Amino acid sequence: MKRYIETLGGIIEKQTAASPEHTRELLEAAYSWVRFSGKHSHGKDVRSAYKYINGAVAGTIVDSFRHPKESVMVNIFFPCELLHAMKIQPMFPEGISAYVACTACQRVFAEAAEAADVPESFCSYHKTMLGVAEAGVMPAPLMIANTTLACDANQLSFRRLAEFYQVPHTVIDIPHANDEEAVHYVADQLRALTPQLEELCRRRLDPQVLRETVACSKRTIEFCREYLKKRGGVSLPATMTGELCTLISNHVMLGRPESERYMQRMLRAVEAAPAALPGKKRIFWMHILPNWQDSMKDILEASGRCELVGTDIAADSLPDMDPDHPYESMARRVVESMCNGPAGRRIDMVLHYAKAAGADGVIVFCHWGCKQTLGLSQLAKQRLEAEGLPTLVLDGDGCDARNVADGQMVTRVNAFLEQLEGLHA
Amino acid sequence: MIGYTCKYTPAELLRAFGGDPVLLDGEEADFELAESLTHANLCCHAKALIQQGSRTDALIMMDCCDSLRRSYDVLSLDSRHTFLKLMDLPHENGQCARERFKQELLRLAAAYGGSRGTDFSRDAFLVACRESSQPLPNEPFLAVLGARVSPPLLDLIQKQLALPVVNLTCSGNRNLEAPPQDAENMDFDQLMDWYSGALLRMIPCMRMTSVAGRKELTNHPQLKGIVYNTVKFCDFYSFDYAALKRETAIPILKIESDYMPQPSGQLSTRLEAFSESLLPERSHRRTPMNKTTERAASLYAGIDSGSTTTNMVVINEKKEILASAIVRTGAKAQNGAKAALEEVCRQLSVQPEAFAAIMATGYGRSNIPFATDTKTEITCHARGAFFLNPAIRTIVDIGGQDSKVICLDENGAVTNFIMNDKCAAGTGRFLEMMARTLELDMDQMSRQGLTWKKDLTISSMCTVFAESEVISLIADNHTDSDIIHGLNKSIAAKTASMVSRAKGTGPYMMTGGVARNKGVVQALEARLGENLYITDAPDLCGAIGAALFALEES
Repeated sequence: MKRYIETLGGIIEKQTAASPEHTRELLEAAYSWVRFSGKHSHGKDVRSAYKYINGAVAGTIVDSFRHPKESVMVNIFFPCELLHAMKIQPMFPEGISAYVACTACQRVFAEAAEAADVPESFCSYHKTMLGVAEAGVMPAPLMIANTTLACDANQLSFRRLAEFYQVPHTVIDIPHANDEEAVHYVADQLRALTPQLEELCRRRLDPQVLRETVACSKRTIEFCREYLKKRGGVSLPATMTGELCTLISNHVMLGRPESERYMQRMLRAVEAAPAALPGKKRIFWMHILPNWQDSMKDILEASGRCELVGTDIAADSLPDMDPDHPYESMARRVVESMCNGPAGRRIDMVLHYAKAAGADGVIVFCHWGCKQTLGLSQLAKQRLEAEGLPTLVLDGDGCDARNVADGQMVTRVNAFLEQLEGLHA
Repeated sequence: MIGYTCKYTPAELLRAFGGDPVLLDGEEADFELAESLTHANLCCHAKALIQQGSRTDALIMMDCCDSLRRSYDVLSLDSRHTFLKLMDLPHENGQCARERFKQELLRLAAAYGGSRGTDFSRDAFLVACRESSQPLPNEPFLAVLGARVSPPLLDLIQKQLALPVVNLTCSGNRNLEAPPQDAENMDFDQLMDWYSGALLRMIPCMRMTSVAGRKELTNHPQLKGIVYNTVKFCDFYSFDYAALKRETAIPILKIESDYMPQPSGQLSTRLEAFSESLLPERSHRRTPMNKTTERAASLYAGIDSGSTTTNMVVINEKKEILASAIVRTGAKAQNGAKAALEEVCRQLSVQPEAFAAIMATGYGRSNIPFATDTKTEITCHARGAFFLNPAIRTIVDIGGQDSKVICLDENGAVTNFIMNDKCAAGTGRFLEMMARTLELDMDQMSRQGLTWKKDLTISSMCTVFAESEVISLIADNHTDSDIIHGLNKSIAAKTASMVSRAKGTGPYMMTGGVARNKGVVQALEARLGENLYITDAPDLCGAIGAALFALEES
């Protein structure tokens, strides 16, 4: 981590308890700089595209902090086209946790949450976001809306935050089943949310704007599918942060022009990329990425031995969107997510994506506290290896260094690369 | 039989088809099979269920949480089951959710009836519905709340507490409403329509969206105390506990269980201390284990049998401390106790028969043959601290294997306490392990922790991870002093978090052997923003309290 970021993180950690407002200002200033930098990233390569979307995501965080009464707090899987169509900012605290971890100040928030009885075994993203909120750094939004997908943590964290902020709270219940009945069940709940949003923000939803927003999502998804088709044959200098930004772009940012522009740039970058480099191991990553961790960056981004070729949850659901049926389209995207339903569905999709991306091996990342991934890790390893994809089950934490044995992780990933190199020698 | 695990399971419907639903809630000696199929950090109940489910022919599961969803995924690969189904359980209780759940019930009825070759019995169904209601007692009672509790653990709780104990955990408070009066005339579809709503209207568990109905569990006028259970790696109920702690004045004891046989020592201490705080006048007075008939009237002793040291204090009727001893406990508690007794007898030139009463406390308190009574170290520390400094409102006690925070009111009564769980982080053992890694003794650890130059942070909470972090720091040529300071900060952070959870306020007193470590004290004072009150012999606080109880209760 760069020295100036560590210095900033240190300042934030020391003074958050005494002055959360000052911490918020420091974070806003830091993320405004990321936004500025992204806005002026015009290159045609993949790293420039990453910088662009990173700036857009950071800018959304800044806007939601500066205009909390124009913001609705959502989880990362919440279909946000409704919000975008009504010019409401999504405030997505799981994303904020990832940014806070990369600002070297996550520890103070996780510790504050644990001191307030949040269990140590709880997902670190959710634990951190509770700490950021309850420390007084994250301002109170207009309301909170979350889905029950992708994990139980949503039911706990967002309910607690709604009580903490004393703001209205709506939960969209996502059935386990993946069928038309479930799509209509979810669509009806999203439809019922609309008048609630209209009343709170005192403006009407224009159905035509919603259709245009869903049409934007449709185009973005089509660019993404095209990008994934072409990814298998080429080599790209992918980064963990870039993959995480793709995840945010394909979820809460979906329906916004920045997201569409980003996938368009990614498609151009993949079309211009050189052919896959022999000898460089292609790693497909399952679940979120610990982009705060320098040792993992050194191996996956800078060692020259391997290349990240994809992440399952960045493309967990890419259905056909129909602008004339916006609610059903949003609902379908959530219901059909690979993170919904049995583990076998997700593992099948990972297999499909990994093979399409020309992966040599898969890393199943067991993020601390994520029971869904912990529970399927051995099933995934068995199935993927049976299909000829060597698989590493890697324990770690997407944002909390306290739960990580860095040296052990480095040894495991290096040994896995040696295994792949040995297989393909 | 058909195994089930969640209270929302339509057990009455299964019985209507001649099934015999049995709650799978047992403990397992180890999780070898479950961890080979999943991961060590999955919810411990889910791991137990995987193992028990793999030994069960028929099983029905609900889509209740991430861990159980994945347990079903694992079990569904096992083709030995004659019946295995996962039901889609809504998180809501609205009309659409009830309709969805009704459809699930109809699908279950078709599948289960088909697998057994039996028809639906309306009479059996209605009898089962009527039998499922269990009224709460009309006399004072204690409740176990929170996450499910295994039968052996419930049994232990019931034995340790003085009032009747009712299981109101997530699998124990299944109170289905009575069927409607015209149920006899309803067709099957109408019955399932009612049943779907009735199941979703039960007192909600924490996975449901609206949990307001849970207040019913704690509003009973005869409820006198709550043992709040959480299961390791199940996160739902810590949130409920946090809210409950804020909202209720009913005394609560939080425990954590892991669906394996419990080591009874620490848990018994907590339960006994809770019982003492609930009913001080009826606290667990034990029959003296070896009461000597002719004792002098002037000497009273307290003996605190800890994991590292055994500490003994002798007082007279004026509460003056006449003698004290701190000896190594060794492998057996009674050996350490005997050595401590010999030492105080030597100091006073008396025989053991000279004591009017000896109160034992500490984890080894039940194994001291010459003690006349026992009391937990929580209550004894509180008594000792209040005697030494009545202004103290929070005691931080860090011993060899336990760390505790005890909150007191202005009369010295315990208002709250928490202890570390099965984890060495933040205890004296943690420091001992790190000292061994650094090849230092404990005195050197104490001294060198004060002379740090670089503010290092040990980020790992786990003792094993922290050890590997220390090894990396040594390899990076950081000085011992800087590393020790990082370790001290780590203990201070863990302890300050406990103080915060217990809602502890100053003035603070620190007791236990770790209070002798100046570096830890300094780091903790920095975290709490206040100086700690520490006596010259911080190890003796519990023994002093025990001696005072020996005097007052003899």
